Amino acid sequence: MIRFATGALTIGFAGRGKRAIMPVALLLALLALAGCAGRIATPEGWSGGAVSEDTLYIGTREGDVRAIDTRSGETLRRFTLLGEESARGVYGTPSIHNGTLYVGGYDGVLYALSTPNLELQWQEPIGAPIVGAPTIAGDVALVGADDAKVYAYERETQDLRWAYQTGNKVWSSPAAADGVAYVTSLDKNIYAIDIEDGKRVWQYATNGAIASSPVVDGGVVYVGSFDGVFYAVNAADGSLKWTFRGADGWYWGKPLAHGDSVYAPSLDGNLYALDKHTGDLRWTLATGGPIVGSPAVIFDMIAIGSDDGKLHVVRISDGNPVDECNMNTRVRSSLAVQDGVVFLSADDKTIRALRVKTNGNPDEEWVHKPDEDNPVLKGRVEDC
Amino acid sequence: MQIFIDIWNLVIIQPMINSLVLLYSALLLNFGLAIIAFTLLVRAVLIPLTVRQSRQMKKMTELQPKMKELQEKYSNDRQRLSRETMAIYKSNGVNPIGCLGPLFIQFPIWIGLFQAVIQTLPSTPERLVGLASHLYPWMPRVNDVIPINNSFLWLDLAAPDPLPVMPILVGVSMFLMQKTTTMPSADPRQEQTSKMMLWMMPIMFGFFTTTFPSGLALYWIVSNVVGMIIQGFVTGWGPLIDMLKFKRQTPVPAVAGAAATGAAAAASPNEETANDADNRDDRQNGRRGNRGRAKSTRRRSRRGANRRR
Repeated sequence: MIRFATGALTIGFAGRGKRAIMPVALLLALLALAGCAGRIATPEGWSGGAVSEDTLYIGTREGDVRAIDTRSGETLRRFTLLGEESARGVYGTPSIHNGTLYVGGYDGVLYALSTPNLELQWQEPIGAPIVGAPTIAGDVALVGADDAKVYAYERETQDLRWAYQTGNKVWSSPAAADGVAYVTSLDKNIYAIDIEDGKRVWQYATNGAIASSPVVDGGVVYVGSFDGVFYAVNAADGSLKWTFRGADGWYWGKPLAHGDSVYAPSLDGNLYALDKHTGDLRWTLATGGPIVGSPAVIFDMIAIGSDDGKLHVVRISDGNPVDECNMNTRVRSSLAVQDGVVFLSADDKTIRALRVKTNGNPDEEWVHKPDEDNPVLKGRVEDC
Repeated sequence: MQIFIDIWNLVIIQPMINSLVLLYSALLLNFGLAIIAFTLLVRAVLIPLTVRQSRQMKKMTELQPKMKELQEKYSNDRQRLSRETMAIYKSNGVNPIGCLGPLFIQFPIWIGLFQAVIQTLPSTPERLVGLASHLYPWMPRVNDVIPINNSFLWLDLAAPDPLPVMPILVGVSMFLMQKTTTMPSADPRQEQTSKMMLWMMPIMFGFFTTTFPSGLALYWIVSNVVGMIIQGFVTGWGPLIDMLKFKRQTPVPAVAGAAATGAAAAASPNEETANDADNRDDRQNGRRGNRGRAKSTRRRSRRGANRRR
């Protein structure tokens, strides 16, 4: 016999045991599938690294910030974020200024840690998740938060100088130049805010949300938007200088201004090299997956990680791919570079150091696995 | 495995996510309304399946008395019981497996909806990046309306309801829907399982709602209400009406000598149908049921007769 009810999904077949098993099995299957599908995502983070005096400071997916020896990959110190365990993620690249490391945690706390000991100097519980990295501008630390505000804290006294309210989450890292903070928001706007008093200088509206951090270079603010357009806006008055409309997806990663070009990573999987003055496309590097992180210059090359699991190295002059390293795990962090070595965090929770030779060939120096007892694999770990 | 995930995303998730975003842009940038409209649309598309399923259930319910008789008659001969059961199904045009088809078609749609709602309301940067890969770049306005505004009434649709309102509504709506859809069984063990599920499922889903995004809870509530209405039109509103009248459920044995099984036989139109059929059977067979049951049957028969007029 079969009995069936849509609501309870109860099905019983003739046979003693099966009558009881079938509804229970279906119930469990339903709950398992619903559970897989419905869980609220926990933040994992894709922190980039900051390098100072042979030490890499980087957030891990274990919910801590580590000081790692750049030569050996060994952990020197660690600081566990203070917030709830489910919210301990770091997305932005920590900032170092005068021996202090500034970290914005998804747990909603802005941390100031001493280097190299990672001892807590002060903390500022903002109460809303922080995704972008803190920016140090003179005597203030600027940080955006999930509550749509940008905060400016006095670095010495930790007093709040001002908080500027935008229309949506601020997931980017502010840029600062000449006493003005440039802030992007998921409310589609670029804001120029006077660092001294928190007053808005100008505002430029795009047609899409902006998660990408802006870059200010030569009096121009460069940033890409979810509308698939890359903008160059005059920093002085917020007037549009040029746009690039060649992308087929959102911009997320922070662009890189270098020489006469600006390099714009896009979630469509391409890295666009644009003329800094005109916005003309110089070359395009196509990767096999979305690009979330920011590129870095190494020698006369550009390195960029991608969701295709590879570190791509291209020549700056013509964009020709020089080499790549397949790590078989997504790379969403921004890249840090010191002495020909690229440091990154990967989707498999590892932190990796890849030495890029002058011919562009990258080899893994070490792989740091934060969640294992024997965390470091040294030497030429993977033949890229 | 990856290829199945890709196919799943391509065929189920992406169309659903883009539909939700499109509805969001069309419905005043209100994602709560988008979820409600989308649930109604999906339910509307599935109506033929749902109705067919309900009719199959109804038919099977009508056969319950005969099944019970067979069970008693061939209680020591399982093979014969199975043969006779299948023969009755065949002669009445019931495909015992047939009613499972619609279930298995709807099941992936439900799961897909769960995922689509979750992924369209990204609560973390990872989820928002993931959403980008699901959106059709050629669809108008899609990129303009991201990020979705999570607010609806007092709710953040991407987060659990801080009040117990949504868990209670999910539990109550699920209970009511099950009350409408659950068919009585002649088998006491199944009846017991059914009763257990009637309470367990709403409690469990209500509990899960405390940890799931309330957008999903909204989907469940609307889906339950729509399911209840469809079922009500197809098989009748008896169980709900009886419940609203706080009608006392009296133990009604399905057939003589099966007093224990009657405890679960609540007064529902499906049951009425079953009892009507049973009654007809009794008359055809020239047998008389016990008094208690006859009384109950007479009352229900009259009401059924009135309704038929």
